[in-house]
Amino acid sequence: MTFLLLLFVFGLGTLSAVLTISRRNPLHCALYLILTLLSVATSFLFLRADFLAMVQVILYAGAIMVLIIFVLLLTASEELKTIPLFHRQTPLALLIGGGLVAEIGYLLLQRSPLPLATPPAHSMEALGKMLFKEYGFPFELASILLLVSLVVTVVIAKKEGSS
Amino acid sequence: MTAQSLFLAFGAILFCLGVIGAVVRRNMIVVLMSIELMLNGVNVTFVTFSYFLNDLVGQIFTIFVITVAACEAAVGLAFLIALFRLKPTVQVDEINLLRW
Repeated sequence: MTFLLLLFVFGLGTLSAVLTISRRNPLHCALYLILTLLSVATSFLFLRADFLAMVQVILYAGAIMVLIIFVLLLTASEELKTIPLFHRQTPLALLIGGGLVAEIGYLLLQRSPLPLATPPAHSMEALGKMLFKEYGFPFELASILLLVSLVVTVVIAKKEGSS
Repeated sequence: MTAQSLFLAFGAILFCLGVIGAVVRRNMIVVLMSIELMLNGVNVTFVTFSYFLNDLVGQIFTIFVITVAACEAAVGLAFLIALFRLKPTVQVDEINLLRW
């Protein structure tokens, strides 16, 4: 039963990912990307990463996708309907992408699965302790990164000449 | 076919679709979305190994990846807005101001 559910979630995620990169209207792409992100969140739940699943829903499917859709609406133009979807480098690009798929698939098939030692009991508490104790410095660096990107976003997107 | 290889295959498929989308599509916003797709594929792989190796480091890394993804999306979209003001297009091919 769980296996069937897993297959369903992965099938949905893969299908919506394919639609994300192949739909003409970017707004449809964004909506299918949200579906993909939600199926990734579901797969996090299967892996008992509850906190990450919540972060995925709130931050990815919520914040980032709202930002992307907002910019989509800001930059909406009529040219989208007339230009061709793919350009002349498409066959070469598909060849390279297909090569990557073949390579990763080969590596996946060749490798024997890892033995599952003990069923892990990952809790949010353990994750928080590890994040703040062992990874405190990278955590602070991430906060600096967020601050810098906040300032950069405001400065770049500001209208020229307005103070 | 174990559950583990299913998860890994899902991550690999997401990553490869993201690569193909980022290379093939011309719309800059769709390229940004494809990069998000790639990062999600990596996240799935991280969390899978975190579960099967019984090691929380994978989840910690995923948190940092999500942070960087948020920054990348915000800065990328700000660049896009600034570019759109300069030249009203979101097509990658049209943006060639710095081309020699």
